[in-house]
Amino acid sequence: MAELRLLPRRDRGSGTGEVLDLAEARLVRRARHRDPQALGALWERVVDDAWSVAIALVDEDQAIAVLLAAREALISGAPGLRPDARWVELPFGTVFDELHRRLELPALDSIDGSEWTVPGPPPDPVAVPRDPEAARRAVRFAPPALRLIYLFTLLTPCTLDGIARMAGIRPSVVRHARTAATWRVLRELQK
Amino acid sequence: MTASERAEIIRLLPCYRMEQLEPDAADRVRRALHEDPSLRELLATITDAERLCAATLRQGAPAGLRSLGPTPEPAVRLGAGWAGVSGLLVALVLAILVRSGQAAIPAAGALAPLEDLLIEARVGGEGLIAASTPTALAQRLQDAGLLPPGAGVTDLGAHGLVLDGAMVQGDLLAVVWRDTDGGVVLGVVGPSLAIHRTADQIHRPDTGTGPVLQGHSLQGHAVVYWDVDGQGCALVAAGGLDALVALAFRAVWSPVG
Repeated sequence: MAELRLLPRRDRGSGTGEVLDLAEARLVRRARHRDPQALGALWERVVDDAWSVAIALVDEDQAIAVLLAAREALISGAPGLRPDARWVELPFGTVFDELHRRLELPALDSIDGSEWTVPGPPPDPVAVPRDPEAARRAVRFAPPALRLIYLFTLLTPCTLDGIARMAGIRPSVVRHARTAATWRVLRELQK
Repeated sequence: MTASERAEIIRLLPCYRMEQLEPDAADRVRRALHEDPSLRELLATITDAERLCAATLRQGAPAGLRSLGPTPEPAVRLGAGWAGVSGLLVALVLAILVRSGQAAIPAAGALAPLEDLLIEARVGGEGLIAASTPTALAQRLQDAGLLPPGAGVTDLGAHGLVLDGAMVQGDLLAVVWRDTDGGVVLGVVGPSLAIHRTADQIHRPDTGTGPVLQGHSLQGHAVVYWDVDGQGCALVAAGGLDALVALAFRAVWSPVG
């Protein structure tokens, strides 16, 4: 084997330019066949992030219900996953929908992106205090719809494009919302 | 940088931090950060704040939610998905069987490892043994003890395919070819190493008892599998089954001139 040249990993796969995780691709393949171990391993990859988002937005009972729905979505939806699909959107799409419903938010496509703009100059580049309670307060300060999107961008592996699909809005609006939320959080932290 | 350009860069910073910008926008931010130290300071502040928020908000899920819970009874057993061909594929396979004059069907589960190899080839698995010609590849494989001395690798270059190398997984050896669209074709050798035979050694159709071709769908790919004297080999490629069957016939069953 000494003369064999092993090539470094390179992206030459789907044509989307997205680097694929081989181990994850195998798990997804097995999950499509309803392999319980693979489904469990995929769920393990998202459960903490899903819980973190849910418990930041709703009470514990509701957060549990949200995660049960997301888990069911993964189990029931895995066989229909396309090979090139981003599987995380299966459970997180349900998390998004459930939270959107439980927070009684309006349809996000009805929100004008400008409503999420924070007037005034951007925050100063000054250090923020290392205060977890201040961080919790700062995030809570954002309006619920903005907070929902912000937490998805902050705590989940979902892409902005994926979040836009879940929310039914354009990716540019998600970027706008993220900026607005970031400014709000920073200003609160710097108070 | 004008004031409006700077304001635009500032607006993009939160998404830049998350690597969620379009490439051209990310380039603009990168250049601006290089030029303007105050932008770098602001980015550092954003990063600190968001790390603090993320660390504060991240929580482990309750133990009761971590397990998968009761799983619905599988509709298709693992490894048996190969048998789930559509009516069209069944018809195609039957047509192939009739054409080849035999009716034996290899165990469907035997094909499952091919899917791992296909995934690995698609994502550029680290285990590729690179070679640009069948002769060079055969030499490398022989040097590694993966092919017996004197054995060769079937050349599919005449069919518009470009050799990428070979991959080994378990007891399977896959010779990886690419078509002009970047699709992957695997010539897969089973434990008995059939693919290294040249086309005229595998089988000549004039005996009237040609090998059985089996066709299966495979995640948007097709696989054609056959068995010669107890030695299994297969081709896997993106696209439809009929095109792959045609390629297999040309590559393997065409008389060698």
